[in-house]
Amino acid sequence: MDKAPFAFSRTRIHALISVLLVFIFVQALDAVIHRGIFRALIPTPPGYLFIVLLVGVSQTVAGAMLRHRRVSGALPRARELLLTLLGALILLWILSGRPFRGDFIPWRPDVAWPVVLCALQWLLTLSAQNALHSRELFLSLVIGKTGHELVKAAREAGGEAGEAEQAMRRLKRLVIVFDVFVLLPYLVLVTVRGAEGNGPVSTAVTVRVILQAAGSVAFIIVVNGLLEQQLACASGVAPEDTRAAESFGIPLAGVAALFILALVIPGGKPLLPIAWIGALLNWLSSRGVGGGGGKMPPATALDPGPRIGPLSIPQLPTATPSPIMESLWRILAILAVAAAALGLMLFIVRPLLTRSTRRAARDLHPLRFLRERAALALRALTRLPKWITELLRASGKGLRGIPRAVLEGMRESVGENRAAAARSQIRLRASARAVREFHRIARWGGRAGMRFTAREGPMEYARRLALRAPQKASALHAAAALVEELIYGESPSGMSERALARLVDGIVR
Amino acid sequence: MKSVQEWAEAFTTSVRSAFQGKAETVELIMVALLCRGHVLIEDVPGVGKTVLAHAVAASIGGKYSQLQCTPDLLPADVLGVSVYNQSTSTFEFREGPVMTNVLLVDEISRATPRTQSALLEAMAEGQVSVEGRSVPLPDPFLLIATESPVESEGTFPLPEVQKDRFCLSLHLGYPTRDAELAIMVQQRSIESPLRRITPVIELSQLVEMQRLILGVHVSPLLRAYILSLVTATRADVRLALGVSPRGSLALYKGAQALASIRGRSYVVPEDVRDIAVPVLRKRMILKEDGAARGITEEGIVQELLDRIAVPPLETAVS
Repeated sequence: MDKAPFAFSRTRIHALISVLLVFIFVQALDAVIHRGIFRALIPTPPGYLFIVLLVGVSQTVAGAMLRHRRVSGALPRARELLLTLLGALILLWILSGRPFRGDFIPWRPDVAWPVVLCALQWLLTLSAQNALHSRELFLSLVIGKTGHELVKAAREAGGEAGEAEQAMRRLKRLVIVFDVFVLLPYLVLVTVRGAEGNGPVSTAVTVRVILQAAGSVAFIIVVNGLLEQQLACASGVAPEDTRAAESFGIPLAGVAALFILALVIPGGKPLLPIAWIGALLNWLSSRGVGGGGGKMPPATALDPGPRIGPLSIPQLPTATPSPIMESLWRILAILAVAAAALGLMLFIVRPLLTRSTRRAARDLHPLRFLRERAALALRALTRLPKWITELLRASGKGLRGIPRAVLEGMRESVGENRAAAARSQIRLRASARAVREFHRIARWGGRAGMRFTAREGPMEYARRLALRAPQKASALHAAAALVEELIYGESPSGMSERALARLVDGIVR
Repeated sequence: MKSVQEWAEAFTTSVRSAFQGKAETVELIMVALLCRGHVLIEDVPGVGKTVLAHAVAASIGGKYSQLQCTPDLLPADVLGVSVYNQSTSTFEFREGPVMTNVLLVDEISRATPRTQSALLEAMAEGQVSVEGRSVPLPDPFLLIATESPVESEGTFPLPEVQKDRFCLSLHLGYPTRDAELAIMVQQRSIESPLRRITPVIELSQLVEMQRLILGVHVSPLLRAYILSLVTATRADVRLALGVSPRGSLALYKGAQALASIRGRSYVVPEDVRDIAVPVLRKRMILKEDGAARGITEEGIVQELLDRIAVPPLETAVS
């Protein structure tokens, strides 16, 4: 079986399904249990469903990264779960407004319930993603082929096709289980309310349950489409993106519309109500410089303070709080809280911030992240004296030149960093593309009975293949040289990438 | 100035007009020249070691000296000695054979450890200390030492520290049938083929090339690959001593030189793999029972090359 990593573009639909399917269920479950059964006794933080959705997205992307790195086992996933839940807990705690009111205990029910929902979202998304992984395996063996080749490849990948089909059916069963878990409690709730004469269930709950039911139908349509697409492969019909967009676009658009509705329905409150910001400012003013003065009687210069023994040390007068300082402290505190919230948000969705899967996978480790930032800060500090000297030299004798020199220095530095980042991106992209093309050659060689071994370089393998296929020797050598240039060269060119793709097309055809 | 590849082609043609051995050997000699390294040739007598050294010296247009090592060879015979000049009533320093561009140290294991160690400084520092003063050696300086693996009586095996000073360790091996026929045909002429060799490069150009190869790009993936190979020798249970950091540096620079000779501005895995055996072979020590069990250093390096995957293509293995 080919263990080559899969292009993320091929699995976008899978990521979408695994996140949305679970999210629609989780929001309906929340509506029935929290709003229906417990009648919204717990005042959940505003926007908590958005955090639940973010956790699902984070799991999908982090899972893809881990799979790309071939990291398996429960431990890395458990670490991801713990870190994500920790981030979600702190974010929800901030959103609940408790820290602004001086309540520093994060595990109150209003925060704990959304965290439970986050955990549910994470685990079920993982389960859905694992089911869809079998289909990715199958796709990797048939993608890029047409006609007779596709039929042959689909036949050869019979085992993977069977597993993918079973996984699709498991997914459909999961959708039905979700329906049961939502509809049954809802029906019980409606019956009990009716029997007790407590009035009907709130409209918001009913609408969200209906959304779940409608979403389930849409998902079953999508999964059936995927199954049909798989069967079509055996008849030589390629699973193309355009056809996929036509088949699944409408149901998925419907589901997307539903989840937007689900996000809007429980809302109605701003993310950070004005009253809470007021509470934050009041709390900060009571804790800021001079704010603690209320606890102690104010001392004045005339007051000699308490006497200790024969020697007396007069107490210094405490400073009266200045309004400017108070405002400054408030602004600083608000900025710090905002920065912390933003940092947490970035931490949860960090794999989304880069297009390079390899880099994202490395950055998943929080210690590495912190270490790198600390090293950057240290480097900046060590360069500071040199930078100041250069700045003073550039600005000449006049002070008026300093701002211009600062601006020029910043522009230069930003330009250098951007150029370096662009170069690095180009190199990474070219390298990834070359590896992908080399995988195609290796698969082609493997089918001809000449498997690639990790102990040889591209050119050595190309020479071996050329012995078996002398008519393609020159193309193989040229392709291997380009692969080497793109992977190991200092500044690979876009022309080489295109030339390689053309050469490999010619070889494997 | 010629490119390194053009020079390499001209140099190979020039050396092979007199030396009928393998082209790979000439390529490795060029690697040592470009890395400012030295070469240890272990082989039986009569396979062309001296001819090779002569041809190399003639092809780069440098000065050539040969030292025939014997147990009574003294350090002063190698480095030089001060001789009293009666006419000027002063001591004059007479340079030894080490003051050359290409030095062939024949049968190095026949020299005493004292004489062998006199060569250590020359190999490592590019200078010699004589009578309390440091005398720089000509630039470039290439030392080609030979030793016979078959004789042990009256020899002083090279200490490990000295073996580590050699950039490459080569086996010439017997020539092929065709090459041996060509050698016979060459002998019909009275004039030695070595006399027909003309320099293909100036010494200053060679020094410039030595500087140029330092700029050959080595991808971080290959740096990690080199380190994986070297650190694997340190963890190998069959070895009493693994490869030192000097070894990884030699492998790095050797791969750079080889890439340059092959006309590339970047190193590829094949460069590292081709240079690994000659670079690493003599930088490790087998455990005492290793030789008895038929284990060789070369075999270990080859096994490591077969075991350690070339990054980042390991994912293509099906």
